[in-house]
Amino acid sequence: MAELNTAEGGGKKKHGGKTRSKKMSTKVDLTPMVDLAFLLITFFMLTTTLNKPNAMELNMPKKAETPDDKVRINQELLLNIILDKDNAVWWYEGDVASDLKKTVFANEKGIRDIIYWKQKKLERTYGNKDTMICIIKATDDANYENMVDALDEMDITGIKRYAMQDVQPPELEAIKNGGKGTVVNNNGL
Amino acid sequence: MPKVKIPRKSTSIDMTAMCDVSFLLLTFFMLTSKFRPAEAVAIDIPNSRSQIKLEGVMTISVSKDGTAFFSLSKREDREQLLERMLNLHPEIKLDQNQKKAFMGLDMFGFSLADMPQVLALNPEQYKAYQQKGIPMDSAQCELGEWVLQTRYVDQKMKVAIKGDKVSNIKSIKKVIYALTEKADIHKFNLITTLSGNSVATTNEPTEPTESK
Repeated sequence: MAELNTAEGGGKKKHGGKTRSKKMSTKVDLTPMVDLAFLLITFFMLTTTLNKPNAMELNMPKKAETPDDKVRINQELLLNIILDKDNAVWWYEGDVASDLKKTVFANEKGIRDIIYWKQKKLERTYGNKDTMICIIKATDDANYENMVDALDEMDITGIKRYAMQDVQPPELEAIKNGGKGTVVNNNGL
Repeated sequence: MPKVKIPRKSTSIDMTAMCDVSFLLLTFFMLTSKFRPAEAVAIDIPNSRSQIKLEGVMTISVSKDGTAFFSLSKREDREQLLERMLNLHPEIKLDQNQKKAFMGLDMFGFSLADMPQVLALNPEQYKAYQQKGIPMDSAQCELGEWVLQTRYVDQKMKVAIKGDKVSNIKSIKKVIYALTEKADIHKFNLITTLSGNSVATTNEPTEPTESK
């Protein structure tokens, strides 16, 4: 089937000198053709699926139009994360804190551990770690990768409620002083 | 005892059917696949765990230096979009060739004022042309207009932001501002690649140390 039939050499003269045309097989070996086709299929399959980019979703809140629209939240639930230059991350809890603490993006001993720690703490007091609210802010020196990393941390640690906000002047002041100084977070989310 | 003769069977198989199937699949994938359009700028996108797939979106790309580009994957929507933008800005006049040139652009980053002149360039000149980005300052936010008009063309079209890893957060904030304030879009996507290293660790949370 998949091989070429070669006519036997000495069989011609058997039939009384009559010259018969050689019977050639019409079958062609299709194996290389199939090989090639599958190679191309693989190529097109891979390129089509890889071409669709991955994406993460980001929801921004609508601006509160009146002061009444602002939601007051329990400040115990808050964790503020401020992204700064050179991949530095500053963080503090609640609305008012005396100092900012500095950490990094890392799988261990970074901002992720702090989120886990805060979640544990809230689980102990409220019995539900999903009460936690993260506020992500970025100074003008941060880059886009930091922002995506921070949002990715929200996904990894399973934070349900988070928001992006503008950084507040007292926080900028504290960052300038290496984290020292009272920070006031006068936001109403 | 008579010897049991095992009939010799040919080991070769008929490949025709397999060939048919494989070429059918090949044709299918060839016709459905779309090649990545040539990008006006190279953008190194950040990693994340997210695996949402997007299709049929408008993409706002932000390059390393913070210039914004707009792209619409659906070619058939571009004509309508351009008409709408020209209606909004009657001072800008384009002839048929310029309109055709716009339809062929997968990604562009120039202001409306520059548009007639950029679209008149031939392909080689266009390649060499340094695109300045779409204006997105709060006073003159053309990016917001593009997005808003695209939404009028197709209400369901999603918005994706494709930023470079190192692009400054200020320009990303400007894009977000254009989306939320000018186009009233509060839900959008950030394009990322799947990373291998940021897998969730299951280690016990530790007390954060007071490090300075």
